[in-house]
Amino acid sequence: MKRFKTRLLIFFSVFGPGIIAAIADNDAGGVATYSVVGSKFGYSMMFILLLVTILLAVTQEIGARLAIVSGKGLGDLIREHYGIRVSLFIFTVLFIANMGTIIANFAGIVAGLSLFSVPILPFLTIFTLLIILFIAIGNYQTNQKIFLAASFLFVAYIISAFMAQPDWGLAVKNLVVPTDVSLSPEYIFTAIAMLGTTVTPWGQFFISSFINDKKLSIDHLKYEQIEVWVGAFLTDILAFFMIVAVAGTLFVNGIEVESAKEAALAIEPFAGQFASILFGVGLLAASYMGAVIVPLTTAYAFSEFFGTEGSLDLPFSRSPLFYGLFLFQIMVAFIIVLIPDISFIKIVLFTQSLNGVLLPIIIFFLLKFANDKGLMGKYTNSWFYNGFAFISAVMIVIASAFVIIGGLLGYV
Amino acid sequence: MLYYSQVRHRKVFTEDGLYVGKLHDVIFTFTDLAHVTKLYVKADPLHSYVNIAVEDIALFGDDVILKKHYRNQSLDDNELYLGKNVVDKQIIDIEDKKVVRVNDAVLQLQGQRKLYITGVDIGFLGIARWIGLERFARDAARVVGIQLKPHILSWKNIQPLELSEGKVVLNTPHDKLERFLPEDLADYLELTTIKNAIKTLDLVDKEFASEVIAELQLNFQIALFEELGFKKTVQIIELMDPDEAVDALLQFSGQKRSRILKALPQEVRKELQELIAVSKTNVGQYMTTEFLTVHRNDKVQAVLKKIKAETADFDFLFYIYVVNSRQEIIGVINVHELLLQKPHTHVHTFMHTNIVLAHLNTPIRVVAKRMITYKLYGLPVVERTKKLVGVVLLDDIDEAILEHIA
Repeated sequence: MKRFKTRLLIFFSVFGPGIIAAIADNDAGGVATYSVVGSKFGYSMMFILLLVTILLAVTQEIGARLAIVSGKGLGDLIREHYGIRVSLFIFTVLFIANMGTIIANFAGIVAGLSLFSVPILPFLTIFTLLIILFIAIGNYQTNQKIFLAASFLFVAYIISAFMAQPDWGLAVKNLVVPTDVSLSPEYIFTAIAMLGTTVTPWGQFFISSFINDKKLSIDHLKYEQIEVWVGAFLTDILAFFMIVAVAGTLFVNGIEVESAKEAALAIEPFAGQFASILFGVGLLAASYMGAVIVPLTTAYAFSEFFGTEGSLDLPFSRSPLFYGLFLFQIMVAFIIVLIPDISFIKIVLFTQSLNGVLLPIIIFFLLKFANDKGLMGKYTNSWFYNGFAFISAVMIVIASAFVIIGGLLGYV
Repeated sequence: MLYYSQVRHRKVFTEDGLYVGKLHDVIFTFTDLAHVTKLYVKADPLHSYVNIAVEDIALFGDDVILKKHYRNQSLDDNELYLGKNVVDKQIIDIEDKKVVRVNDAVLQLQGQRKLYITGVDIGFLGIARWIGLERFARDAARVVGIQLKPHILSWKNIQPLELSEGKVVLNTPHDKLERFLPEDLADYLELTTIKNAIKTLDLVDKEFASEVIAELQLNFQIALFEELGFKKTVQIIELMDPDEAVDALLQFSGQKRSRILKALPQEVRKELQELIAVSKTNVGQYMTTEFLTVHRNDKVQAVLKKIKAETADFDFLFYIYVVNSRQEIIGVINVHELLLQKPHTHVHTFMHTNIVLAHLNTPIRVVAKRMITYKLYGLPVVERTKKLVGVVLLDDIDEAILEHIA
């Protein structure tokens, strides 16, 4: 009993990176995707959600193990094994793709705010200042707490799902036994978008950097592995409720939406005003997470690739480039989101294609490093795990190829 | 001045114009001066790699020209790759904080083929150079009024010892030297020249210096004392732990030893004389030559086989020692750890490199104390160099231990 208690205590001290990295995948883009999924395809994509959860857990676990065993981030490892040219290429693509994701999340904040009919500019400014303030002043522990608190706001989706009074039996059944699977291009691309919003290049970078900034040691490996799996399932349980909230109201009534904001507005007649408000709160929390974590990832990656100091525990004066880059991205997103008549759809599509190019490369690096005996010692992938990871990688590559081809053909 | 990024991928030919391949990396020794000893060339038709000694180079120019009958050589113990082991690595200071990455390295060509590494480039231009944008970056910066310069760190500032362990560590500002453990600083000093070691020791306080000196290899220690001169030697000996002081004193000739003893304060002298008297019996009598050695690249499987083949008549086997080609001890593993490893793991991946050892004339009292302090069942005994000559087992020195307790 006592041993169990100590173990639980260790788990909670380790607790953080895995869950935050996973939950942040349900950012503004995630909420939008799940709104579309729920309204257009009802529960029929639930089984894909389960598949995506496992893919997320497998890839994040490798990243977490890599970080703990080698004590280095993904950026460090790429730079040290593949040199400057590869690093410059990966960082540039990551930077542009992340910029797109950050803009999408700022657009999510704007959409969330507009649901509450408050004046956009002052509130967006407050949001932005808070984002900057927490990162600039708070240390690692403070920020981790803020992230976890924001993750807790996702509970809003669970409540709105219940208020939608959905067909729970059908929803759960679809996790394992899919019904109404369609092979239309729209169905396939939406399914791939679910994968794309969950398993992301920045997510792979974030988990390794965030673990290293926490300075976890090899003794924590087991606990972190558990946390990663818990995080992946928690994330997609939340996604499950998001889909249910929309499917239970809009899909059954034949209403299709294209964004999270539309979904929040459209569910009101069926689930009540409170459910709609909760959906909006969820969207704000999701966008906030994305708007902080993604630029943070770019800043971490920059530090790792180019060897400058980068840690939430260091003051601005010790890591000016780290904080500077973070600020720069926030400012750019803030300005772009205020440009009237800008096409966010185009930005999102472009970002998805870039991520589609980047993700297979990142997965390749992950597998390569995870099998490097000199780096991982006895913690290399087992053959079983490798097989599993390889199948995951193939699925990700195929999905990415679809995204790129889809982007080129002007689909989606 | 040459940059590593510029010489990498240079074409390599033989004197009679035969194309060999492309320069892939540069191999250097990491002791003292970093001179390039070999070139690592990717031989094109075969996609195989060859190490070519600088002696076999005829001319190191825009193309590298090799002598007609160049040979493919293996790597020595103290050689490293510049590209693989230094460039792209993070430079850290002593507290393990990140500082910056090595973006490029600076080489100096002396004559037609002698190359030295003089420093590393940690600046932005070092990055731009790899993608051929160095000039562009300079020009672009000048437009906005910034003068970009290469940010070069002299090779002198890099700790050679840490390089061999895969880290690029800066020589620390002097006030930080004392945060080293004495044994770590000793290890590091052994790789520099005596003069450098003395300069370093002058920077720390006397007490710490004496602790460091006590940890030095005996032949290095003696050379150091000789260089230090009589007066300083006496000062250091006085500050040293009495057991360690005796260990050091026994290295001197009888004449010099008594001169030093005479110069010491009476109290210290008395204690040391007593210790010397009881230490006439040295380790040799207690030591056994029943020990097993393996090499750093042996696999666990092979070691287990060796245990079965060679140790059947041993009384005791707890540790296995890892030695280099000169039989000098470089690591130790215990049998339990060995059994836990997978069969194809190399010994060097899990051996301990911080080895507690005794010298042939270390007083048995000191040996006993060390074994108790570090909880060891066996202590390796080495000659003046680190050549392994025997092992003292706990069983054999129980009397000395009892005495020590009393």
